[in-house]
Amino acid sequence: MSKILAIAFNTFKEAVRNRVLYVLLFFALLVLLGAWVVSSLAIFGADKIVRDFGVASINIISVLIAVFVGVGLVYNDLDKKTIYTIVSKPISRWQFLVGKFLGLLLTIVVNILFMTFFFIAVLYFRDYTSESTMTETLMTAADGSYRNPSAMESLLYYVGSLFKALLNSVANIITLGFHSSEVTAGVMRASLLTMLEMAVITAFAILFSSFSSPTLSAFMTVIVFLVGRANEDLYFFADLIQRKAGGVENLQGGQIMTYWFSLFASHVAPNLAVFDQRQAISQFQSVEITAYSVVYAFAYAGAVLAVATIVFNRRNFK
Amino acid sequence: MSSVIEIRGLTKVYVQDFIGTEHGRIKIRLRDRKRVALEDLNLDVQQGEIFGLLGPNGAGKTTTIKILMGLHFQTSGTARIMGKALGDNDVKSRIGFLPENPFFYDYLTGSEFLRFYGHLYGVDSGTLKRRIPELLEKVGIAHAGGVPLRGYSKGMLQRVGLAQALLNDPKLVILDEPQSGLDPFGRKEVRDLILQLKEEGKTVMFSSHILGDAEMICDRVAILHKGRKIADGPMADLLSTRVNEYEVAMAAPTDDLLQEARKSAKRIVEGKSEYLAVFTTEDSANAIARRLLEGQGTLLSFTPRRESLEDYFIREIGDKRAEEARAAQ
Repeated sequence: MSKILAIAFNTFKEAVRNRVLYVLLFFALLVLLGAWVVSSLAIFGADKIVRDFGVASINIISVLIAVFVGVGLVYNDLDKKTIYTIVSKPISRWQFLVGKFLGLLLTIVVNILFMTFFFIAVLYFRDYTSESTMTETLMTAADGSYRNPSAMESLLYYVGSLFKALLNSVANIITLGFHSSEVTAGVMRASLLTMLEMAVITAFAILFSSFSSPTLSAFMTVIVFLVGRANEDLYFFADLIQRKAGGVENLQGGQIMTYWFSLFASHVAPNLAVFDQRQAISQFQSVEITAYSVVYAFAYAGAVLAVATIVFNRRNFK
Repeated sequence: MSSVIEIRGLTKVYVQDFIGTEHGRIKIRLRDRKRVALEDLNLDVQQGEIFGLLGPNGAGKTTTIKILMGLHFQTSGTARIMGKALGDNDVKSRIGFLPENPFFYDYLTGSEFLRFYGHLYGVDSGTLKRRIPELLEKVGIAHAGGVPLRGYSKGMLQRVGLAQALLNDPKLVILDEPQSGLDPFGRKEVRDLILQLKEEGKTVMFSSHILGDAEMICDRVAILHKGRKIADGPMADLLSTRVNEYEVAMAAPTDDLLQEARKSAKRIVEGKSEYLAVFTTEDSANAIARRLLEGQGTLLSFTPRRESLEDYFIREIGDKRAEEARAAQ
């Protein structure tokens, strides 16, 4: 176990020193700030828009990190022959893969936490500085009479809000969402679900990069993500074709292929809808992390890593 | 003495698939081309010796080492290290290995790098804290422990690579071309280090095509050529003790003597006023040397030259190549 952890922490170090990560992270922060900007353009439902936008961004950026940082990790070790000195140590190949997987997952988890922290801070700050809250607070300060706050008062209020927002975000992250106000309900839990989803995606990134080039691995990992997200739709699609034709035996020509491909893809690819709580967030319902989603993520990732190990065990390292 | 490494009938065939276009059509042929990298190799490395695996490029040295280290899998045959099958983690923890032209995580500093590899060996942190500075000292880069590896020169990387191979205080050290990329000083230091390892009771196996170095330190060698072993045994047995050349160095010989030397010598190297004549028989060398001593010039040196490993190598492999050329015709 200590050997797996040694590899995991080294992988984390490697990923953290990868510039691509920072480009993605910078982009993520811009997008999360953008959520605020976009919502202020909305005529109604601004709260819904800002949350949807933020949660979806965190999700997409996490996938991008898994893909662009992840696929290079195993491949680089093979390409630059670092693997020679690792596999020749008293360590099994599966330990190497699991270590890489955990290292990459750790990288993504830390990044998701960081993005979530930032986003929650944005949400709080947005709430504190909304016109109604501000008017209310400053009005009370002025003994219930309406007046325009002085520049100094505004500034102090903004700075104070910023600190409050940051503190609330810290509390949110530390308690993993149990310290949630109305504003942030669900965002933290949605991020936790995203982490589970990333466990599956990361396992695929490791699997693909254990036998193919980074470009191809990135492509295939993205395909798995897309098919995984559309999993249920694909299944219903296959069902629809079949029912329209009046049974599987009546399918004709291209339909046959479409039917079987959709059915195959929906069964083989992970069902990522399990981790998707956008609907709940949009409708201000509470986001639930079910035991099923946790077990599903770990079982699926484990199975994919097992396949990766089988592939990896048979390899001659060039 | 017992065998530390025991190789029996080891064969490795690389199979390549063909995916490409031929006559404008896409063709895929699985198992299209075969290349025999190693053929029926038998080898024993004894406890406590320095064993040299020699041969020109493409001879199968690295393939042998890769199979021993579990990086490649043999097509047939067996190999055992310390009496156990390859890939045994218990055995691996007693081996130190340095691959050819190693690349390490260049974002780690020398010390961080060694700590990481130490953890992979399962060495505890306390021991590592003591051993890492010792090892850095031993390989001569004590000053660079805090520098990231990307700031290392090639020689320093090779040294830190050697250090990682010694982290676990191994019983067996396997080095693939440990001297490639090093300057003469570095090569000497590696030689000294290998000898020191032997003194510590470790077994060392290394591959090399730098024959002079191998000749100086190896107890036994095996010579590979195109995947086949063409010779092996103790150094002393391989190289005949027979002297096969005599070198006479002289200064300012008389014209007469120079004429004579030109006639009888195998070749003559001419400097400004000094000459080096190489003879194949002792008699002709003696004759010239005697006349020099009689006053027809100055005798600078008289050197009987034994066959070197390089001569042996060129002779054996040269023969093989000539045979192959004949067979091809």
